[in-house]
Amino acid sequence: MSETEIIEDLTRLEELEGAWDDLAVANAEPTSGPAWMLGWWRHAAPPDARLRVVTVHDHGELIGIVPLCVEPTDPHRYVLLAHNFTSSVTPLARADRTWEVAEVAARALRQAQPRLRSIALAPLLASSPWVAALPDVWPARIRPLVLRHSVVDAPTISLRHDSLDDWLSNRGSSFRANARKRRKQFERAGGTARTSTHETITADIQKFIALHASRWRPLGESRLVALGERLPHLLGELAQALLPTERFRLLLLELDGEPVGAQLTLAGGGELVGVNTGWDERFKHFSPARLALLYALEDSIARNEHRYSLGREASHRLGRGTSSYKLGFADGNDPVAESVLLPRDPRLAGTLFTSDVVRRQLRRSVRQALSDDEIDKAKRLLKRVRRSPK
Amino acid sequence: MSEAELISDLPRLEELSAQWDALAVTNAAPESGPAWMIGWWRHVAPQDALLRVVAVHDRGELIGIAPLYVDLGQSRLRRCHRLLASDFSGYVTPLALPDRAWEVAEAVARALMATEPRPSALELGPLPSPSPWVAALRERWPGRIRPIAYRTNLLEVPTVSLYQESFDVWLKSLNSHFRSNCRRYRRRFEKEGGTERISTPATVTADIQTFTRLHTARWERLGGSRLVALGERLPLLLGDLAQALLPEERFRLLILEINGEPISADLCLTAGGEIIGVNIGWDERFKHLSAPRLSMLSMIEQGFRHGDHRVSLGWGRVDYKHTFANGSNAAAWDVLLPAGSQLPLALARAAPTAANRRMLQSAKRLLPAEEVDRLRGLRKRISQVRA
Repeated sequence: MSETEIIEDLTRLEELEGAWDDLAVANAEPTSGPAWMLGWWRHAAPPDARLRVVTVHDHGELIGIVPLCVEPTDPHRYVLLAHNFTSSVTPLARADRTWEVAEVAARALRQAQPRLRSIALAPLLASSPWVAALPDVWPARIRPLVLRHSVVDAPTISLRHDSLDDWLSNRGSSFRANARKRRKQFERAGGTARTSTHETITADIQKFIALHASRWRPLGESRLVALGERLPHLLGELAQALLPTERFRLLLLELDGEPVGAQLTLAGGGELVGVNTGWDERFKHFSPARLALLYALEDSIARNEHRYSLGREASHRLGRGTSSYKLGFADGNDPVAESVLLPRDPRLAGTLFTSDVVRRQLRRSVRQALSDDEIDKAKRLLKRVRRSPK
Repeated sequence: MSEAELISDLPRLEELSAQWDALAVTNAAPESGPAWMIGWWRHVAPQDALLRVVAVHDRGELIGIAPLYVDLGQSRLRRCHRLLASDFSGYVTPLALPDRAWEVAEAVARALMATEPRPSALELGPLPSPSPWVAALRERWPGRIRPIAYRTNLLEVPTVSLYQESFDVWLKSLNSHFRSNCRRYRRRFEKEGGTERISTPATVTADIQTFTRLHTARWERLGGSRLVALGERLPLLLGDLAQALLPEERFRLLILEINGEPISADLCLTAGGEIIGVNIGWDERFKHLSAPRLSMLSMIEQGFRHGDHRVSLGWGRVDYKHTFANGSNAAAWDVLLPAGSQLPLALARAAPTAANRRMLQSAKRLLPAEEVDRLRGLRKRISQVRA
């Protein structure tokens, strides 16, 4: 018989790090493990957020974890840890025990304080079983309402190839030729690629931060840059937790010893998740981001890993009609969805209207119903209305 | 760029068998491969059914398949598309290469909307959980309005995960009472001269006859089974399956014998490490030997030997399954109703079933477990009296 516990303090959660990490590896979910989620909690979570992590044990073994917290903006809305900091996060369970874990966790959550009025199951893979399992086993006479308010493409690269050359042979001839040309140019100019080790990690983290900040600060849209002085601490902790098992992969591209590009990837259970990149604009002609990805793919294929996840930002941030270099690499798609679970209680109507659920649902329906041209027209119209003097 | 091909004739579908089977193996979906589905089409499908299989290719490679059919037998106006063998399987599902389900779903949806008869409803089930297909088809359906989606049923499927190093380690992971029972069953069986074997190409024809005889004898008295209902078509179906899957040891017919006399025959299919039990037949005279349990133990042992990952015990309610299971999954039955002129009719047709299901689900939530079991027993008795 499985037992449940709601963990509200970090120390208790840290005690479970080993078992939690095993679950993350078994589920091939590097960004739902303790290193990433607790790193987010320590360095990126809102200051007044409260931990509400549900753990499920069977005969002393951790068989599932639903890592939630409550943010100060809405104390009755439960969200997954690191939800705003990564492409996808998820509760975890041992193989074929998701429904059992969901049932036990749902019972615990029903009793949790502050009283739960909604759970944001986001961003979760669109095929995740949790969105079906939690409402189905929810301990109430009426099933909770589940609303899905966005589905975003998340490009992926399959690594089931014998070598990088084998992978390249499946790409278009122009992509293949470009990739080989760039690499040759870089290596001919004295360029080298290396992955951080215990000896180099502290300095490499500083190099990554410098390259990342110089690239993204002017663009003003990096969640990592926004962390400021907390970023080296977060990366340091991640490295400490994951470097010994070679799951923290910081790849440095150097020209005559000078760093020109860096890429950080986390791995677990054969899945790789690209965290972020940085490069020196002076060496833009080498396409450091593409080069780094190629080197990372070569390394991962050699390690017999399965998949490189490029993240939903790859297509999301760019919007319609544009393309990212990442999309050129992708050969698959595992979309990510945002859903919200709303238990039926007398305050449901209030919850619906005070949260942004209805607005997002409406926006999604309008997007589906209108063509691209109509959406552009509507956007222009809205802009004009907003600008016009009141 | 992927291309969709609508297939409505069997010879063309058979040409794709090898690539389709590779997809079934990649997806670990034994009952969604060509052996099972084409077998069903040849021997079980309704007479007025039309093949509506959508194959999706990318540069000549089959990257996905939605094996559908439409049954025009009941009404020419009803254009409900279903998955092949959906009324005959533990799980069925469209298939795609890893991470290409959404791309395949988009191509499938476009192909279905571009042909006649257009689907008025798409019934998908029993789908394994998790499955991307309902979300993917709904999101990628062409048109301004997404199809209406609803779930008609969701059932628990007990499973045995074979993640341990060996059969002995798995046995040790069970509780001591169950473990000692297992050992007792085996000792008793061996003491009475029991032996077991898996069908080989040399024995399979006779073994299929044995399976048919034992299964029919067992189930005819209990009111029949989907296999018994096939009558003379059953050995033909099993023969086709054996021919396709036995060379790769994915058709596993386990025969238990006492002094050379078969007392039990248990059929499983496998693909990509997933084992699915099709059905079993056993001689009631040897009830004291607990043949289904013995057989299950041996199938699990076979699974470890072949490096399989999981045994799916199916959603049928049989108590002994739960004693073996160390996990569970779900089978879901979902329906998509595309917007269009047929929608009001499709909604009107779907409403009574959906309401009935919703009522049953609500009753399950509202009533205590004992009360639900009592009602279930009552329903079973009524249906037996009717039969």
